Amino acid sequence: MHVLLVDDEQEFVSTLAERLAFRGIEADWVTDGEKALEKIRSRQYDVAVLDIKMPGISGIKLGEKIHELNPKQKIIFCTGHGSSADYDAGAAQSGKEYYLAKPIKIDILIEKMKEIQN
Amino acid sequence: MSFLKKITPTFWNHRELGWNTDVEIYVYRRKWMMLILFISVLTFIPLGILTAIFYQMSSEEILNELNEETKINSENAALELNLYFEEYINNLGYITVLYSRKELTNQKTLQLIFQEFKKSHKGFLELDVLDEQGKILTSTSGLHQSCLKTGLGHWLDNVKKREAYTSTSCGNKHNPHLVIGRYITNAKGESFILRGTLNNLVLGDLLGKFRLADIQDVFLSDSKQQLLTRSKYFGNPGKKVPYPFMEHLPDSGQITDKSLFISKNKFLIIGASHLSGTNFTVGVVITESQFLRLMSRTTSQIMYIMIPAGVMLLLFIIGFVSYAIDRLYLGDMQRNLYMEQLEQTDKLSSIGRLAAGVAHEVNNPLAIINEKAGLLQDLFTFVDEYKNDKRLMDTVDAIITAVERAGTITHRLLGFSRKMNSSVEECEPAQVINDVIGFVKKEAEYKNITIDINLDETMPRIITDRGKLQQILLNLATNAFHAMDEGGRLEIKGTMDKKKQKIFIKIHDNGCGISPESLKHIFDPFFTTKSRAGGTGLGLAISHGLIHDLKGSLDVESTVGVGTTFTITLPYLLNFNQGV
Repeated sequence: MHVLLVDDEQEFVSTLAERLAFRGIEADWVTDGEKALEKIRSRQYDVAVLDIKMPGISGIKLGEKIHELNPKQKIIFCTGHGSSADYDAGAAQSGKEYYLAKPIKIDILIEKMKEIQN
Repeated sequence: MSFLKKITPTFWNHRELGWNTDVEIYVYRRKWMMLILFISVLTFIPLGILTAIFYQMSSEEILNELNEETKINSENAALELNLYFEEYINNLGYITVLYSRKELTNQKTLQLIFQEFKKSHKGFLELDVLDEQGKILTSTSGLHQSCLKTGLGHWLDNVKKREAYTSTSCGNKHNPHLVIGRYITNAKGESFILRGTLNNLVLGDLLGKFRLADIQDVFLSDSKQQLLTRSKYFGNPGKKVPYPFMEHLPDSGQITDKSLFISKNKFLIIGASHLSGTNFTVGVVITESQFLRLMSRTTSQIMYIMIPAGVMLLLFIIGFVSYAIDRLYLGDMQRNLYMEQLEQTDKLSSIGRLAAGVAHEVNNPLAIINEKAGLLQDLFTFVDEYKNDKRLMDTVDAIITAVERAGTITHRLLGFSRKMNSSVEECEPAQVINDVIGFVKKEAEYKNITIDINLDETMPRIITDRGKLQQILLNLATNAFHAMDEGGRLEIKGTMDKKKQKIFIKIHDNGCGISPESLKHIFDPFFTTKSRAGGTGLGLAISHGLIHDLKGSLDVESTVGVGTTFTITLPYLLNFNQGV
């Protein structure tokens, strides 16, 4: 599986990529929307994990742009906003997009990635 | 006492009810008093004017009635006396028919006739026979020989002119008599005068029967206002009536001249009537005291009507004003409560937003710590060298657990703040309770309070406003903590009634309890027993309002020294069209 991680917190996103690599998931990471779009244009990713609150292009906006380039792109949003209860209830889920609350449990992230891919 | 309590308006005991606001109690009491005063003045002034007019009209009516009474009585008395005099004159005429002048000039015969006449005519004193020149031919008494000479010419002229004439005798001034003269010319052409003298005391008796109803005095006087009969107010016969009551006297009528309001005797009305064919006048008197007596009766009648009417009116005004001010007061209090609720909600909302901001900012570094710790764990797990270093692995696990814990707190904060905005959604009561308890757990530990949660596992998910329910539970839990300052046990029990489609959440503490007196006002806004401890007195009032919004109910049971139980009842489904 090849994933793209986008988050303005470099420490977070780089570490997450490293950890995913330990689990056999190849992860590219960038810290802003523009770079993310470049990556998307350059190659196909199975899943894109986007932070919602970012300087410049926000995660939501980035998601829309990605879908303009590749409507079939699977996306998981992660955010510091909201509580797990919201996601558990499934209220915020809509179609292809999934939401995860920070701090993320890596096992759950991988589970969601697999789920969304299938 | 309970009746008094029942009729006392709510605002009256504002302070006793435990209101603790800037609203000054006396504002309402003063408004109440001012309004009663104002309406009373507006009502009672016209009522007073009406009463005065009514009184004045009654007074005039009584005066008219008394006037009429004096008129009728004086006329009747004059008529009676006229009849009496006519009878005398006629009887004197019969004597001249029965007896010739010769027989009448016989002293013995005249004496016999006089004796007979006296039997049927009370008060008959003398009988004389006079010739045309006024010379006494015969007399039953020789006493008046001289007196008749005085003014005789005038008297003779009147008798001759009118054939019958009644006047006073001029002899005894202290006891004047009435003299009736009859001029006769018989069949033989003989002319002479028959003169009878009457004791005027008889007239007094005759007039006495006209002293009826309101008439207090009846008297007879001559043209010089000299009394011929005894008067209750003016004295014995011979005395003069000291007031010029005859000056404007018509044939018959009343004198209501104010000059007759003599301060000493206070005569109000003297009615008078002329006796035709004489110079006599009958006078009747009504004094002011009689008028005042009648007026006092009228006054009493007015009072009998006006006092109860006034009292009724005043009671009505008090009742009406009390109702109006009570409405105003309750309206003010309600508005105040809404304002406070709004302020409180706004405050909570601000706190919520702040918490959300903080939570979000904390979440990002937490995520980094989490990932770094996770990486460490991965390194230790995937690199054999460290795999078996238990101490290292435990340390990393502890970091990850702490991050998870911190994450749970920030998630809760975010969830809580988001729920400040009203939104109806499906939620699990157990989860809401656990969320709230999660917030107060630390405080409970500090206060040495144990929390037991005992929920029915089959409790269904309900459709309600999660934020409002959280706020209610938080208020009740905080209240319970205040009641258990020295530690205790908070028990939360969740049950349900499938038939009624309702869930029940009981929050029980074994704290100090609430007195029955305070229990009555516990849901009143601003009622607080913790004012010194910073209680606003709004927590329960707001909770009560919120539970109302959720179409549920909030009940309380408490025993001082034993504890308090609040019971929240909520419908499975919050339907805004259903009643509470």
